Parts: sequence; C-alpha cells; structure tokens
Amino acid sequence: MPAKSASKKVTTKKEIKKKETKIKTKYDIYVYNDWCKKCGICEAFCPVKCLGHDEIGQVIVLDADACIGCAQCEIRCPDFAIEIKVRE
Amino acid sequence: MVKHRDSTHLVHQYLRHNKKFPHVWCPGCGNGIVLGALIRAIHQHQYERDDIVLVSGIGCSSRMPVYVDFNTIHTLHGRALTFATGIKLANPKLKVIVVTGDGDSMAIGGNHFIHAARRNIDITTIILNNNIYGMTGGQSSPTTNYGDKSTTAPYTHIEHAFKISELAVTAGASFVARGTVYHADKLQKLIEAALTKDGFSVVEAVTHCHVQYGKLNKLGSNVDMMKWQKDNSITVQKAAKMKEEDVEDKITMGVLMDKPLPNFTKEMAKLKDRAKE
Repeated sequence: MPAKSASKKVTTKKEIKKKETKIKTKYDIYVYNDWCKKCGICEAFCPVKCLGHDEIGQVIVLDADACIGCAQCEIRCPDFAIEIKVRE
Repeated sequence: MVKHRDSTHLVHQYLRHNKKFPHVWCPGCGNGIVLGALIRAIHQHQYERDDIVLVSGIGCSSRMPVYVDFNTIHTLHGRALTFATGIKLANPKLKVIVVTGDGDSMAIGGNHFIHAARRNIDITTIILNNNIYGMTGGQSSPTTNYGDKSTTAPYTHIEHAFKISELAVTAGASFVARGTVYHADKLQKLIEAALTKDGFSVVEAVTHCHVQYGKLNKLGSNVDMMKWQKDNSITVQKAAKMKEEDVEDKITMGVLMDKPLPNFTKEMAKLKDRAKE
C-alpha cells in the first residue's frame, strides 16, 4: 500500500511574483505634543504596539514601520492629537 | 467615505482654532471621542455647516459646541431641548442636534426630555452618559448605579439608575440607539443613522469619568474603564437571546428602536395650512 502523501500547497510562479511585487504600505505617525494630554489611549489600543511613552508620559513612536494604518488611535484620541499618514 | 486615518485631519477642519486648545476636558475623557464621532458623522452626510445647529446645556459634555464651527448655542442647565424645540419650529430647515450629559438631560432636564420624545420633534439628541456630575465635583446623578460611591454618596448610592435609552423608547422617541466610546466607529455609524431619521432620535453614548467616578469606585484609569466597556457590552441581537438577569449588568449596544412615527414638525406645518384655509 503506498504511503499517503501529505497534501502540499503548490506555489505557482505567478503567485511568487505577486508576493514580491506587493509592497507593504508604510505609514508615518505624527503626534501633536501641544494638544496631547498624555492619557495613554493610543498606546493601549494600538493592535501592533508601535507606540510607547517616555518617563513623563509623552507618546513616542517605537516602530513606525510596524504601523498597519488602522488608525484606531486616531478615532479614539480625545484630543485630536495623533495623525497617521501614508509614507510617500 | 471617511477613512479612519483621515479622522484627525477632518476634525481639525471643523474646529474653531481661535478657541483655547487643547480643550477643557480631563486627559483621557471620552467626550472628545464622541465629538470626533459626531464630526465624522456630520461630514459623512455632507451637510452645510450653516445648516447645523448644535445646542447644549451645562456640564462637561455641554462644552462641546464651544469648539466646533457650526451654529452653536450654549444654554441653561437642562434646557437645551427647549431651546432646540424653538429653533426647529422657527426654522424647520435647520438640522438641530442637542448634545447633553446624563445629569443635564435626566435630572434637571428630565421633563423636557420625555416630552420632546413624546412630541417626536425632529431633533437628534446625543446623551453622554458618564454616570456622574463630573464638572461640579462628582455628585450623584440620576444614572449613578446602585451601590456605587460618589462625593454626595460616600456610603454608597441607595437609589437605582435611570436607563436612558429604555426611557426614551417608552417615552415615544422614533429612533433610539446606544453606543460606547470604546466602539468609536460603531458610535459614528449610530449617530449617522440618527441624523437621517425624521423624528426624535436619541443616541446614548456610554462614556467614562475616570477622574471622579473611576477614582471613587476604584475602577482604574481611563484605559481600564474603556476596556471594561469592551468586555461588558453586548449587541442588541445577542441580548435578545440571553436571559434577562444576565443582560442586567451589561451595556446593550446598537439600535433599540427604529420606527417612523408622526413627526411634530410636519404635523405643525400641516396644522398651519389647515388653519389658513
């Protein structure tokens, strides 16, 4: 009896090409420190944890490349002090 | 369609930049989130700024019209709906939106609220429910829960809380919805829906007061209180399938009432025509 071969997904050349050409959109995060009240909402609800804070609570961008542009911080910022823009 | 990431840019266009910014609300207050949702909802419908009238009474939430560039009026404590009724009847073309707090609309303005709902006048009311009088120092409000502490109830509150949305349904409002500030996107959608309705539409935005209510009841920071909202809110559809006692402590989110009922503004116009004949 022949051994059952494990079904393996074959990646076609077309798919590989598609993967290579698809570049992840990157974003820049701007924090308006004049308006920010350091409440910590943006940091707490960031799904990829790319925001942090320093010793006085000021928001700092830890890893802007990790940002997925969901802007959950933007819709929840009570002070309208954070902005996500597509990197050009 | 407004993308989330255009939100801040969009909100800034609607603000009065000659006012003092950052605004007066405490760090982490949910009122700013509701203001953002309201502005996005108004923008979504492409209303002219001159056609919008934002009316408010007194309280934390009632500071909202000060910061936005519409026709705004900051009125007496609890009387926002009465002013709004006058504005709507004088010029029915205007889109009248009332922003009010739980103390403002349920305590001193409770009577105005139920009668505006009974009349079913074409006004959109957004009630920010933070369970306490925040601005005046943390006194108990009609929505402070049984057993919770406030500065006027240091040995816990012995009264039972009003359920704003259920009250509005019973009083006869044609559209009633409830959202939370954690679900800011959903809240925007609910406000959008409320703006299109013909009769009295109420959106109850459950928000948090971590400075007064949270501190006295040891509920943690603003983030902890928002996470509490996330964990304790269920949709209306889900609540319908659950037992009544399980739903008691939860925030039922979504549209509680949506029924076209005779509208006071239109009835008034008809009455005027009839009287002229």
